[in-house]
Amino acid sequence: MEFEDLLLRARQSDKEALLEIIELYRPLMIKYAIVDKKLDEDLYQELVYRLLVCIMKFPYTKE
Amino acid sequence: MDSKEKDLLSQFSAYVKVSIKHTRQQYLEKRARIRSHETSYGEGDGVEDVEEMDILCQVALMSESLEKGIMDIHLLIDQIDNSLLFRAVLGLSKRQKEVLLLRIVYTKRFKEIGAMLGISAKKAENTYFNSIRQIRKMIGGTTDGI
Repeated sequence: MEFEDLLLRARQSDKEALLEIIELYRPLMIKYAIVDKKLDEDLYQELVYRLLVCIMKFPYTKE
Repeated sequence: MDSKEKDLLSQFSAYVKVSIKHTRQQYLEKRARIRSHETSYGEGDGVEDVEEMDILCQVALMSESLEKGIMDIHLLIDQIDNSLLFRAVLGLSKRQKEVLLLRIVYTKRFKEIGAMLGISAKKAENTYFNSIRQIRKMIGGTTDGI
């Protein structure tokens, strides 16, 4: 599936598309959720929430 | 994946990355601020030093024995073989006897005695020396004393 479609579906609160994007960015979020060599789960949750906000707020409209 | 698609993905990734970094920074700052204001219960719970802590423990134990009547004035009186002194000690007030008992038999400091009896250290000290003076007077002793 093309990323553009995925993003547009996720914006319409399609659960599968949202999960797919979260899966796509999981390594990045885990990398930034590690504090003092330990995974901070609260921080990880914050980052997942932030990713969801980003999906909704990313300035993109289909041409 | 065509170039337009790649551009979109890289733009979105950059957008997410910046946002995530910013969130992480804010989270860590908030956590550090909370930790700096936290009170550690292990370090100090209102008691300044170990000595104070000891006194408080002893006071608690001694207060219990006072309540139960375990602390016995006979411990003091039994040590007296002089009849004049015996009578003099019996003639003292209850508070004076308690102070003498704690000072002589239990070898407590005035600070501790004060804490146990609910009076100041100075008051305990005065009571003790007044009692000694009173006893000395009653048995007709000199300043070389008891």
